Amino acid sequence: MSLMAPDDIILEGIDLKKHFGGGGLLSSPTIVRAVDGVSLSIRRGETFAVVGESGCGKSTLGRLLLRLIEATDGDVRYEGRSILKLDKRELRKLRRELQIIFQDPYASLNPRMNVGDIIAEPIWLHNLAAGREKRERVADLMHTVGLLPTHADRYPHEFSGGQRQRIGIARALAGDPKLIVGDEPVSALDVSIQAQIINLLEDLKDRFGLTLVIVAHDLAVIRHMSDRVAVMYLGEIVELSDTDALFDNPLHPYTQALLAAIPVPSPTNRQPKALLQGDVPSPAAPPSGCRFHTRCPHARAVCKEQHPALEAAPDGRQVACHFWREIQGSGAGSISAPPPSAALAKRLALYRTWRERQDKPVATSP
Amino acid sequence: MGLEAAQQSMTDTHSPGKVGLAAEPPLLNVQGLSVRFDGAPKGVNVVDDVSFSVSKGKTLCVVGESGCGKSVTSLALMGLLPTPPARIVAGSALFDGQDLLTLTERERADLRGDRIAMIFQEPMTSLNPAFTIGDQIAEGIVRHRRVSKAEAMERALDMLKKVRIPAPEKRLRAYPHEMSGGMRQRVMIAMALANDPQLLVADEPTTALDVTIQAQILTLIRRLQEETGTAMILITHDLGVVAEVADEVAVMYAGRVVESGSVDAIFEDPQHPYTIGLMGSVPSLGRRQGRLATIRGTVPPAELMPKGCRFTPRCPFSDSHCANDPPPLAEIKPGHRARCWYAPLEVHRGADL
Repeated sequence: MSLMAPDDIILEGIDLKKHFGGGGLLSSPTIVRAVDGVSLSIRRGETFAVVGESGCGKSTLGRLLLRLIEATDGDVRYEGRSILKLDKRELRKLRRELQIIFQDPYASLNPRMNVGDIIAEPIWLHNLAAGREKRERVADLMHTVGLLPTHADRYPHEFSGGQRQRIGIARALAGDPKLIVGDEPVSALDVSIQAQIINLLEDLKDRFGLTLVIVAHDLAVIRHMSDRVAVMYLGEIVELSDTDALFDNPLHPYTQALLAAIPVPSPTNRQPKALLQGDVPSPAAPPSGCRFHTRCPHARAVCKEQHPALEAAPDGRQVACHFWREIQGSGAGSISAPPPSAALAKRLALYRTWRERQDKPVATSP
Repeated sequence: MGLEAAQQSMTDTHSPGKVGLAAEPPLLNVQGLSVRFDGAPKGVNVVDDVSFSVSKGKTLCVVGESGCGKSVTSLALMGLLPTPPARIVAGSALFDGQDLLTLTERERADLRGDRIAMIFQEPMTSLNPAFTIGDQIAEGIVRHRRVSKAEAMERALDMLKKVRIPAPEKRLRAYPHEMSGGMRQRVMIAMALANDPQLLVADEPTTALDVTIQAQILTLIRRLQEETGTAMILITHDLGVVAEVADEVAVMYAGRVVESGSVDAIFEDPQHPYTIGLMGSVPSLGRRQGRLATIRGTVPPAELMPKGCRFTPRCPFSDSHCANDPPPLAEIKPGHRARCWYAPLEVHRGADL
């Protein structure tokens, strides 16, 4: 994992809130508290993951951090400076440094522009290069993400899902960004393609010294990619921790339930699981007190009334639960992924060796 | 709970006295199924020579990525493939002694939703938004059973209880849009199981759901299966789901079964390079073990499909033999088959390291 100073903060969200609805004549009278009081600091050079189920506000948070939508309350600071008060021109300059990759690469690419133009757009927008220099830069970017530069005149529909995601990544890279938010960047892709894109993102992060914020629901992907994780439930962060600590010893009962629910890819230790009951309540009418109390196996009377604050736990972790100390070690949680069988390990090693050989003769990316 | 009794009487109506314990033939036996789309290049079937079988009370998982033919296979079995463009060009599918592929449309319609039922991936698009949940479940019961509408509604209510939907009386009169994704999928399951099918075909039943809801649904399906002895074909791309629910596994790639066997054999002793690459592509839930192994490139389009093994262009171990001659689905160990010239790999591909 990458080295970074814990106090070198690149992007910071302070008590961020985003409420939808409730406003004018035509909007719905119910207020959806998509993000409700989230504070977090993203360190330079790290991969920070935001995880949660649908409707927990993780995508909204990702967009708030880039000011793609306006916050209802709170502040976002990039390099120590609030970005919420910037005017249009300043914001556009900032966009160069803060980029986003979307989940559905097809819906986020203009079908009437060819791939070369799609990637070149940020370059001319920011006056980074023109003419031949621009074309060279586009070819370079396409090569970087594993696309053939000769395909620059093709249109998005001519590419597969994985290739389209590569186009999205090339476009995000075009302005030399410092930080990229990936909103479910691999969840629409097939497993084998997903692995290619994960490796690509990791390579690019190392090569360009990027900071990555990954918004996702797949915990295995998050464990693999990220340094720190924030777990969200109904618009709030319930736990924030180093990745390994979180997976080895989840503190919040929701994190424990989330980890327990993942199907483990090993048929040998099938066991009945302690399952969360019910659905996520509507963010338009979140439960009183701790928002998780309606589904929490450890809930007590106080959970219904008092809202737990995100408090500091050992090793720089944060958890929002009244009883996290007592719940600890209650058995739920830490997932034990058995190591691959001897036969699989052996063949996988063989596979990797031959796979490298496969790449060598032709110097194109996988 | 009066529902067990009601269900019992319904089970009895269509499987009288079939309780043979000794090695009975599989409930469904598919042999050499090939499906061709009109206009596809010559010799490139979208499903090619697919064989598998499912026994009573067992679960077969069909694993593969988009375009591998897993959904086409299931639609072919259900008789739901649109012809044209799809045509079944070869094969048989013996279900309880009857070939599903030669039935008339009428016979198929009698079978569907009765003895064979299907659950789809996206419950919202497979439920009719204009009818209540109760009506939609009852419709299938009335179609296949000689019961009144009221009795069918009674049965629908029992089914909602069975799939553990809270406040079932109220839900009976609810419309699909009033329910969450997980609840809709429970309704789909209730609908599929309403006539006590012998075989359930579930096409990515949990893919659209959140992980905690997915766990609920998988547990529910498994428990219902234990109660009813229904055989299941579960189509998925998620190896975690396979490991949790499968008895038997068939791995498909580009229209062919490339490996099949018991779930233990597939996970403990995977043989085909595609299976191995797929397992290496999934991030581990344990501590990070370096970069992910990847499978190069993507599935080739039909016109570029190699003559031999279809995995050739992406396989690190392939050579000209693979490109020209399709390998057979050969038995490696009893019950464990792989479609690769060089399996086991350490024997044929380990020497010159």
